Amino acid sequence: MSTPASVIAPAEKRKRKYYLIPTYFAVICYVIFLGFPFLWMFTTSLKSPLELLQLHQTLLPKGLYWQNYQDIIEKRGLINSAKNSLVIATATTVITTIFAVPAGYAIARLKKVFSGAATGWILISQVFPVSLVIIPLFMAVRRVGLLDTIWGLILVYLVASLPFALWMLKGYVASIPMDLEEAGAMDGASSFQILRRIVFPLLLPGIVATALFTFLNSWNEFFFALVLIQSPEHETLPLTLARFMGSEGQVLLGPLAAGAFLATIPSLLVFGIMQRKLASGLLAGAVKG
Amino acid sequence: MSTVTTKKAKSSGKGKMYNRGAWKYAIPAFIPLLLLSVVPLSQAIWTAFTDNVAGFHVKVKFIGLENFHRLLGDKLFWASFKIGIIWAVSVTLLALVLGFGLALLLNQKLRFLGLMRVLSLVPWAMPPVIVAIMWNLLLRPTSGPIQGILEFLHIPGAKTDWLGDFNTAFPTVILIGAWVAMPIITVSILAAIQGIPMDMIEAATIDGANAWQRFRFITVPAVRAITTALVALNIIWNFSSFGLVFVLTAGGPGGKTFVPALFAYNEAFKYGNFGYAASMGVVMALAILLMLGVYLKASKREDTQR
Amino acid sequence: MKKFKLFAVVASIAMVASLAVTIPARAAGITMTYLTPAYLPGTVAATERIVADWNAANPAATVKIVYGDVNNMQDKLTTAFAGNVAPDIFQHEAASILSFSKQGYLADLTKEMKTLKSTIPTGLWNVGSYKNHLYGVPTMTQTYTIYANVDMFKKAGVAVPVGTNTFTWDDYQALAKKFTTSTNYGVAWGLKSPAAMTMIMGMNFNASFFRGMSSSSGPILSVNKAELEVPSRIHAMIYDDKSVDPASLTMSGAGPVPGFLAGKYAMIFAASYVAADLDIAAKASGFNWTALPLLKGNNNQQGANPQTLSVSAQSKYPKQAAAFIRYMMADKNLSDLALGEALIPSTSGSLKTTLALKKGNAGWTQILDDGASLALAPFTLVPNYQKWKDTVLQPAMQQYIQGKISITELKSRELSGWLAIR
Repeated sequence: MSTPASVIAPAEKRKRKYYLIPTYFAVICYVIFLGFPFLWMFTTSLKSPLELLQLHQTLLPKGLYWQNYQDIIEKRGLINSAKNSLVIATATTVITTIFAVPAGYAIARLKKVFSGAATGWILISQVFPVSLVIIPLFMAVRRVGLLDTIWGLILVYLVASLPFALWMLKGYVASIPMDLEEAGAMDGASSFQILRRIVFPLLLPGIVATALFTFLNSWNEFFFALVLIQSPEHETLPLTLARFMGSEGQVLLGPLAAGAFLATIPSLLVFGIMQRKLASGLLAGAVKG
Repeated sequence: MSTVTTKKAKSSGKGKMYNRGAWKYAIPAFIPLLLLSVVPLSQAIWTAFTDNVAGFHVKVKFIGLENFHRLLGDKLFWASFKIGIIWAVSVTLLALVLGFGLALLLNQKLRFLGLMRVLSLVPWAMPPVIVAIMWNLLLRPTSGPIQGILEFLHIPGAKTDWLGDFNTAFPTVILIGAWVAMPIITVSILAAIQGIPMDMIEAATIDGANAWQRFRFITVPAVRAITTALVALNIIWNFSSFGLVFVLTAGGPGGKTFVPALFAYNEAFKYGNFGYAASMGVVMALAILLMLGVYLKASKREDTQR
Repeated sequence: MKKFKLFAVVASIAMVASLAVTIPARAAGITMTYLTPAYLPGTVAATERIVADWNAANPAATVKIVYGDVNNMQDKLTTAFAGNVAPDIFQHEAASILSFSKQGYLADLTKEMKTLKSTIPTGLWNVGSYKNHLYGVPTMTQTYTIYANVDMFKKAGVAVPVGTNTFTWDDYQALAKKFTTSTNYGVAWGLKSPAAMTMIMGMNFNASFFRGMSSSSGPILSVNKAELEVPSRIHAMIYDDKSVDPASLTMSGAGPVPGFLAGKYAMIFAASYVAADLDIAAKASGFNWTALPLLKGNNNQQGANPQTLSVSAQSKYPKQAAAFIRYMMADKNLSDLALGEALIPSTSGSLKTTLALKKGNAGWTQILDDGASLALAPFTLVPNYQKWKDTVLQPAMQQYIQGKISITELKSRELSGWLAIR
């Protein structure tokens, strides 16, 4: 992709040293601000219940208490919820992408009324508090017979991610020069062939970006899952994690931190690998939006 | 207005010429949307005009604007509404500043860039359930690590209970809100900066533009559009959610952090007043739409001026 | 492109796998669902043991456990009721099931539970009832208790108060003062959300808050000396005696525990569930704690908000569900459940069982003895009381306790807030 454009120009290379001190100071501040809570969560996951009751908590645990990991994996079925979350987030991502790519294309290439309506709908659907839509939504899911199923949740997440995905993809399509499609049409390609052969490859970075958004939002979503899932075997990760909290701020901190750490790793891995694509895709989606 | 319309019509007409069948592709996406977004949302909006309350076999009656009339006089809701606006706007602006700064750093050739990149995503990848709990622990009064560090550095006010004190609770919650909102902003703005063609910067440098001028006249315009979108979305997301605030402070101390989304949630689920709660949702949605309408229009005008 | 294909393949495999998993196994008899917010290891283990025993003995009407989380029980139940998919049996708290009873979502258990009535204190029984019908069977309750560091008492040569109905607010205030030194505070008190606690403790001084419950114009809030007694005593301890650690004022209920274990305070004021944490420390490091007798004003009564078991009106198997509740209420079962959360079991039999198990543990014995002082707080029956408590009393009380407003201001906010909410 595009090479990072350094803000520092060659002519100023001599001056760089002056920049470096405040720059690295800022880097350190950001590293602490972003990393410290995460590091604290990780070391907390290795502390024993007794240690967690102590007044002064140290960053490094006094002993390695792996029991927390054992507890959450064996007794609370973390593996099963992780599997459910993975299936749900992956399926939501794939289906959202399959639906949103052609629809985003259609909205971008057809009447502007559509794109106006789509943008308006995104705003409206996102701004109305979720807790107030949940009951009608619940009824709708029940009506289609998908209550307490993984598919029901996938459907809801699909609907929740579609507006945003459409907005991003529409913008990305708009940035693809029309001449290319024109040329395709001259060569006698059908409407679908134009979409598949010409538009799709150019859209790929945007698709990756959309997919990542969808994946993470579905992976972390709590409220819909809480209401729509009834059986323990269909539970998702956030639901399992929430069950380590009691009333009045009581928490089973050790196992909760262990579970949260395990739940964070896959997303960080996926993001670490995909970030470049995410960056470029996001740009295209939002700038033209 | 009319010139814009004709321009648009032209371009869409051109598109149609080469891919007339495109409209069909929108259908699969719109069926689930219609079923599970338009229908429930319309029902929720309709509820605002009824006396719907929780209950078995409750008869629901249309009562017109009565809920809204009552809401108008609900001082507690409007106090909460004001908090919500301040919360949404400040979280967004703070996250924007912090995220922009981080994006600028990530764009430089520095050491530890890989680590920074992964770290910049941490708040996004950490399950929301635990984010607030972790911050609560870090900020624990008398024995939390943050207080320990501040005390060690002899920073005045080190003993403050950041989440419990009347003066610091709201700013602290806003800072944590910004922490959570940062990654999406960082990543998007970084992408925009990286999209700036190299030759543009070189040309500017040859023309004698200094670092500040390059930032002001190249970087800022390049990220303007994406910033507008990010600001709009973040204001919406923050205004309509309450999970983070709820675990951090439960609305306290003294109602300082009682955001309207929590207010509406309580009204619906704790007290079972579905109709009244829905009217709060409608008012919140309208207010935000109005605000964003003004904002989006203003930023569009600014765009066309340059 | 390649990556995306791989992605799609993985996803479709995962989807197929999920389909295979979601095909339910058909059982021969009926299956009831039991929604529980249990989360502490002891209670979870007890719940699973009880349900397994029940299922082995009743193959025709088995029970399936569904874990909910306690902070979202209300959302989960509200939507489930609205959508007619409520669990057959569920555990929730009395304060919240009252509205469900009014709304008609719960099955009347009066007849099914009549054998239990004599074993449960009347005060508790009434909390689970609405208009003389039982909708929630009280299982276990918390009290607000003062915990003492026995070693610190011994060192200071102060006798640990014992006996029922003898330990007064004045005694408590004097003790707190006695243990306050230039370096230490006598007591720590997690007062982050003080509204519910001050109302429940107000019963010590006959605070009733509302009158005219049955009048046509609705209940009237009255805030007088009785209602203001508890807050003003707390205030005096904080600002006159300076015997409460100001840092603890913004902590949650269990917040002061680490400081207590570290020997920073001779006493903490907290709910009974804290005993579970104290036990962990006692076992591991020999921390020597006990619970003081319930505080007494004019009396030592506290408003009760017990955990309750209910059957939803939508259940197809109300008889079997009620039978399962009776099974859970058996002495050994209820005792196991209560022990896991350090709560007081409601029936006299299970209380005896628990006492026998905790023989020799002075703190537990004291806590378990306190069950008799639990009563129905009359204000819980007032419509809109919860809303007033959350949106008016909570912020006003927080401000009063943090010294931002006077007691007159507290009173006037409580009153004007009630008028605004109705």
